[in-house]
Amino acid sequence: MSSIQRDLNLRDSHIRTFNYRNLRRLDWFLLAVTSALAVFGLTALYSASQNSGPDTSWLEIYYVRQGIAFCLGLAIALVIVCIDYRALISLAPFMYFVILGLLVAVLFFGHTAMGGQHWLPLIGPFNLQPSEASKIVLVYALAWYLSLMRERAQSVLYFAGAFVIGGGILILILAQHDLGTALVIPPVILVMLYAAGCRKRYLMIIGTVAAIALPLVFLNIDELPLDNYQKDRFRSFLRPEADKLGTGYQITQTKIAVGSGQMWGKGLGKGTQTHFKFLPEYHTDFIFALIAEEMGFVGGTVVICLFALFMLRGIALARDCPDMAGSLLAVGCVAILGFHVFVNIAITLHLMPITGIPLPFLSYGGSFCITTMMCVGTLLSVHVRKGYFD
Amino acid sequence: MERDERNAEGARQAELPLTHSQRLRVRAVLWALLLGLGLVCLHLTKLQLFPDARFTTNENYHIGETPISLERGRIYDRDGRIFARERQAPSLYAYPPYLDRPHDAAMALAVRLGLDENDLVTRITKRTANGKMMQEVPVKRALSPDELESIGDLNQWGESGLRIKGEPARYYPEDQLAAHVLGFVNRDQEGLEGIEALYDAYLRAIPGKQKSRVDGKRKMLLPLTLEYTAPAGGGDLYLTIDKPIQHILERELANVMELRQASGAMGIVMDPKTGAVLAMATLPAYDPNAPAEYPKESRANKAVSFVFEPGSAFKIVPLTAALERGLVTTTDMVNCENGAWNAFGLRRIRDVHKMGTVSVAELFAESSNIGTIKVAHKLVEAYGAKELDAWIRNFGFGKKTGTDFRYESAGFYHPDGKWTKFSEISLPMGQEIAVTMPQLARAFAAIANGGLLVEPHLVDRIKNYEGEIVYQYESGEAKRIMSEQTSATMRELCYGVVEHGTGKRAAIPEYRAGGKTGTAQVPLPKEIGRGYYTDRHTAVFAGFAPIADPRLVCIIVVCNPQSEIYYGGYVCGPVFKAVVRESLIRMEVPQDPMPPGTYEESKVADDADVIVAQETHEMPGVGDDDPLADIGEKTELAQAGVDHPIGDGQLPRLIGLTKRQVKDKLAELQIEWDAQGSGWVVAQDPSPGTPLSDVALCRLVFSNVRNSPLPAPAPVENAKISALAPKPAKR
Repeated sequence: MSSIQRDLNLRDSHIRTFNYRNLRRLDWFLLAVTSALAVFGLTALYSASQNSGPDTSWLEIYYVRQGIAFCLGLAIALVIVCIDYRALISLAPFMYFVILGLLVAVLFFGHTAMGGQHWLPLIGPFNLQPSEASKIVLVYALAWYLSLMRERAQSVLYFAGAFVIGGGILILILAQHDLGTALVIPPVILVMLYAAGCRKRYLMIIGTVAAIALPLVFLNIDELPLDNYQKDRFRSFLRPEADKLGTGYQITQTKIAVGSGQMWGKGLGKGTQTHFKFLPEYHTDFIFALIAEEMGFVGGTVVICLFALFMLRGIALARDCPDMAGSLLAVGCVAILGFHVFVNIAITLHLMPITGIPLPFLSYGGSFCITTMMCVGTLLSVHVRKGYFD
Repeated sequence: MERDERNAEGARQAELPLTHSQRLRVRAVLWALLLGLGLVCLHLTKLQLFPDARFTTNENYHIGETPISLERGRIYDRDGRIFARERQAPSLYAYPPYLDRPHDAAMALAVRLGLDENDLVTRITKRTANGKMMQEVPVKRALSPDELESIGDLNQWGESGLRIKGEPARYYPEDQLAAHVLGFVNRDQEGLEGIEALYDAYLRAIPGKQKSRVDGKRKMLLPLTLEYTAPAGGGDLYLTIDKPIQHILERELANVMELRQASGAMGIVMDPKTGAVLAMATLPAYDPNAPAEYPKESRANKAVSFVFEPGSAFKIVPLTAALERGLVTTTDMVNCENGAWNAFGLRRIRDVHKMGTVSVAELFAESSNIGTIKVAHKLVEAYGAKELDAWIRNFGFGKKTGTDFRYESAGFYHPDGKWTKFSEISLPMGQEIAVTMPQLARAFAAIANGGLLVEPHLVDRIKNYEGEIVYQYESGEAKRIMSEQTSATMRELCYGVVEHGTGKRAAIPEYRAGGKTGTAQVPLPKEIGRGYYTDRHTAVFAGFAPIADPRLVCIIVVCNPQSEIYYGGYVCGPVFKAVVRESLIRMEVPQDPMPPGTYEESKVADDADVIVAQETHEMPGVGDDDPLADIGEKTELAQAGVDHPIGDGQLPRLIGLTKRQVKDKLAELQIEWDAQGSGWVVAQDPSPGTPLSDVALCRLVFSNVRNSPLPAPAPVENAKISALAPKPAKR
């Protein structure tokens, strides 16, 4: 037991590291929003599942698998709620190195899917995606680091240290060609640095560099060390009509799906774009298109509003947290989910090039679902501690 | 220690809540995220509520259209035997982008397939406005197996540079059979001639189309069919033609054409009761699979377009009229003026067969012009010229007979009924009028069926591609043109023609047949002037069988037979006999045999110079046993008979002698003789060895070919052998 923990235990002796009574202090509002989103997600996947052939075993059906993942995720979240997050934060360095090890392992033993090595085989039909878990680990690691070094928040080293921590994960994720996940890392680092109170000057420098680099990236795609399919995605983002049946296909089909949904949508299970196999990845990264097509503008807006409520609540938790580490955890979790939501929908609506980012609570994918629920658990856990001070 | 302290201090710091500025920053993060979501939401509003028209509806993007192809309808005979169908003909296509050396390939192909080199090179090396090569160039359609082989390896000028594609093409498995009835189609499967053209609307397939949603892999989603246009047309057509009878007719016509060196031969076999044409042929024919390779003349269906003077065959009209009006009976005697008569001081009329006063039946059987004119005159006397005119029109002459014959001629008959002063004399003999074969067939059908004017037709029914009958021939109320009684009388008169008259060669032992012969001269074309060719004739035989209940009407016309004997009975009679006999047997029509004796006699008449024929005559039943015994065999026997010593007081063998030799020889024996043709004697009647006392008149047939191929020697039109015919007085 480290000195910090001993210290913590001394100061809040009535709070135990693992206390199932925490479950009485759940944030029902956040849980309700989460459940609503989960229901939306399962409904959408139920519709998407209709494309499965008659011979698909029940374990292979999207919404069944996703339902299992949700239950698992919820269980994990509730376990997290029972654990004092400060204990978890103190374990963050350990978790960080474990995840680095897993990311390296994926490079050697991983399955190949969608042009990247993302998967580690688990029992039976289930696989593990370490890159997903790395996101939440990063949040914990940064919360640990940023709150611990709070005194030196103004220094360059404080700023640089955060990037060293994030960079390790970022490089390993880039090494497995997972551009989507890699893109989430820098914004999370920046948001958490900002919330922790780093110098705005450094953020502005980073922002300026990015602002200059971005057009250069778009203009010089060919020279970048990216995979061909990634370059094609950038090109087709810029000119989707150029190659309707090639790379621009996804974009065009997505636009048709969204555009044809209109106000009320075509009705659940009646989306022609998804069910007739026009829309690629309609159950994962493009599930918002399915929602927009089948549930229309109303459905899409409700989903976005639910996300907004989720963020409002999450940020409120961060603001009201009695300690900085908890606040940073909450900000980090909200940042991860918020960034996923924004980028995913922006891609679906053709505001950004396709990068392969899932939509929390809705996209099919067990690892990501569990990551999401861990974020929720963390937020709930932050709320629990706030409750002791109310 | 210091480090521990610092750590502890850090931990304490971490325990502290956020400062005010940090809270503001957290709130800023929230605003940033909400801003992002707001932006996204705004864009969603634009995309979904004010969408680009292209994306609101994906109909335009995700609709597939497939043509529903349909074959051109097939053509069958009455019993469903195939006459025309579609098949996939191999067609060669070039794909210039895949050709290594397009120019060389084009040159080589042009040579191998016999195409125009420049044209093919131009087509293959052509480029579009933006410099692209043509994607696909048809090289030659419907390749023959030889051409297919001559191309060789399709990849010789580059992988996939040449390809063979199947293209629908019309196929007539019987080649020339019934070619004129069927007609043919062009490359686009449009009927150009015959039934193919007349019934194109039924036969032609108009492809339907199906518009339906497609999935992401462009697979048609048939439950989501948006539009379905059923294909139309493509109906299967059932002719009234009976393929086996058509075969028989064409075979016999081909035989007679070769035998007589004729320029053409046509025939129609028709059901007299319904007008259904069972066979119709025009020779020379063409192959509808490759119509372009035949001269245009041979593609015309002369069986319906050819007009000719019917000659004696037309005598049925005045005879029917006079009988119907009760002006004559078959037994009334008419003076035939011994074969020469100046009709009403207008025109000298001759009969080939000179007769004195004979019965109406006899003058018809022997085709007396003089007698017929006299009978017709009775009609004109009693009812005026209009009556004969009306009868001609009643029989349907001067009008088209039906709608199933493309380019059918209406024939020629004074359109306004204005006769010349010769008309009363000319018309009863079948002059001054030109008829078509369907008209003649219909006229004889009326006699055969009891007096009704039927409509000759070729198409029985048409079924659409779903098997529903969409067209069924329905005869209207047939017009009665004569009473049952008159038609029965006419049938007997026509039987007389075949039994002992000018149509003996048409006699069928198993079935009593009736008919009328006709021989017409071919009128000179108008440019040359009035009158007739002296060396061109049209031989006609029109008849029906069996007499008791006629099942078939058959018209045979042979154009310009080159034999010395060109009479209708002589040239066309045997064709009629062969066709009708075989057809009736095929149709399993109960026999209606000729009375014993009559057929043998006609055979004797046919084989006038055959000695053994006499012996056959003495052995009753032989003719019945072998009614169609090969005549050539008997001819052989006849030649064998040359060695028979022919003593004095007997008619010598005259075959092989010239006219001058015959003249000298017979003058010596004081025997009267009658000659047909010129050259050497090929047939004689009576046969050699007949006691001179029995010889009243010696009939001789001459031919320019010494060993004439004519199988049967002297069945001369008007040849008078029958005991029924009165013999002219010996001079």
